[in-house]
Amino acid sequence: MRPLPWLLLLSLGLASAAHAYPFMIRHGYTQCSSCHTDPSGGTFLNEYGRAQSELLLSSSYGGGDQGTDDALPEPTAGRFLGFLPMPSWFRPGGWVREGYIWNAVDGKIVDRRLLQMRADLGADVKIGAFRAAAELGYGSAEGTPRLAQITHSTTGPNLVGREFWVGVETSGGEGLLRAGRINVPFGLRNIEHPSFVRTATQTDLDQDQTYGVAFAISRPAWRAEVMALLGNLSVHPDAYRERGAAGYLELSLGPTTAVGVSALAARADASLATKLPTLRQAYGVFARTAPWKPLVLQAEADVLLNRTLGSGSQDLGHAEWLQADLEPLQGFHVFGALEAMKTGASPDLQRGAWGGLWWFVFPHVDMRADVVQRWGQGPATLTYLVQLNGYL
Amino acid sequence: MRRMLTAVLMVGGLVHAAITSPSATAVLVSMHGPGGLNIEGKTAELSISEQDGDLLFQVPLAGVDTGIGLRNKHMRGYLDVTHFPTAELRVARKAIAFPEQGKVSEADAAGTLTLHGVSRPCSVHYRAERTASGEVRVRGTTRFDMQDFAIDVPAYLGVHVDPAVGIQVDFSLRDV
Repeated sequence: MRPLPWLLLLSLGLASAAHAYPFMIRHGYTQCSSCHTDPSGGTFLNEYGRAQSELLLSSSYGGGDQGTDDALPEPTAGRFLGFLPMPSWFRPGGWVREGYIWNAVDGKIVDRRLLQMRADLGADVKIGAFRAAAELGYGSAEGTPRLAQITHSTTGPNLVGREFWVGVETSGGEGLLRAGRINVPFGLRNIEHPSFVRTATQTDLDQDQTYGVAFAISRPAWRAEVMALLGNLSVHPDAYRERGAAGYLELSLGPTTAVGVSALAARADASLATKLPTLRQAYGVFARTAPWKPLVLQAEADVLLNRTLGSGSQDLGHAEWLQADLEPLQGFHVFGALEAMKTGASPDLQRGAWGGLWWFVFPHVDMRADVVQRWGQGPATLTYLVQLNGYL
Repeated sequence: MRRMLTAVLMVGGLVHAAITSPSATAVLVSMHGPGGLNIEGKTAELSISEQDGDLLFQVPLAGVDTGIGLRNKHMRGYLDVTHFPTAELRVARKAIAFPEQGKVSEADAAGTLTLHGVSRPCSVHYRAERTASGEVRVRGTTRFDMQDFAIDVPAYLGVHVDPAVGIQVDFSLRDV
């Protein structure tokens, strides 16, 4: 792939992000469903999650460390905009993420621009065992996540819908059966959605949700989700829509360590890349651990199998991710990651290194700066991205 | 005879001193909530004394740390540590068998747990291992239902924990 189209893909990939913080395992949260409406983690937070966001994610000023100082006030999680009481069954939300990106090839800046990354409104509803969640957003002409668009303008802005589903709780609230457009259950649900592991397996949070039926269950020592993939209706024509199954199982080895396995198999009459009937498979392992509370390590390794149906040919590839997140002060993170990927489409091993700072300045506001270097396929590229995120 | 009696008393005194001077103490309180929520509270504050032929284990509850300050504050409220500052477990001394060197003893012992001003009988499972250096490492576990101790089941922003609570206590002794 030539560098400029590749950079464009990376830019679009970086152009929007949802919330999923696997590093919360440092606080003993091996499960996602304690805080998230999606039992495998993701955008919507329940009231408890919003409280943890205020207590554990954000910097605290003058009150010491929220993790140890218990003389601090109650969070305002139950109130919309911090002051408006809301019924417990209805949780509205909103997300705005804006950024600026610089892309360099062989040390020379070739692209720099403002990024409209996200502007979404949404809500989730919980009435008895009934559950539902939906979000609707604005995608600028340059920043529309194409696989999540509802309208299909090629020149102007679009309506975007990443996630909307209805479901019913089972097993005393530990299980959730749902149908709709849902995040594909596979691997680490890391926020770095342009990472090789997310793009290679097509399981990123930005736009790779698909329509289907999923069942998730969360127990104290393990969690799992399986999903029947029924096709992404944002993709046209129907021949490009993948159908199959995906799922993961994660075991908690202790309050701050979890390991898991994932699998995905999906068939399309026409692959978006080759236009040929294709069976795409991915199998992986992943792990999260906090050996020391300020430090969280995450790793994922996936095997990729792509078979062009009827031809007898099968491509074998792989993708890996190793990330360290250090939180020396509450709310302030220093992170780095190494990644690699080889897909059947390219004989070259692509490698990447990520580094950056992430500051959860106030409850519901965070700033992040990333530097991403990638090499091994064509000229080396370097991307700088700064972003400001706000959410309700 | 007098020497023998003196020796027995001295040994008894040593054993008493050893039991009431535990080291490497760790108390772990485990609770679960919906959606696989795990909550663990930890403290290293554990004292052991002998009273009327019983071993009395005491844990100051104000020092139990769940990792989140506000959660600690809520927990102290539910336990009413102002009025009931300690959790106590009383077990008959003769119900505990300390093993020979290099051996392990493991059994269940009946005890009485006092929490939140309420005393209830309970069963404690313990495992004691005497190492080659003479140190005895002990782990005791028990479970209880907080509602049996008149403790309100904690709830926070729609999340209710399970009333069943697990307790694990680790400590080491020398010269017992």
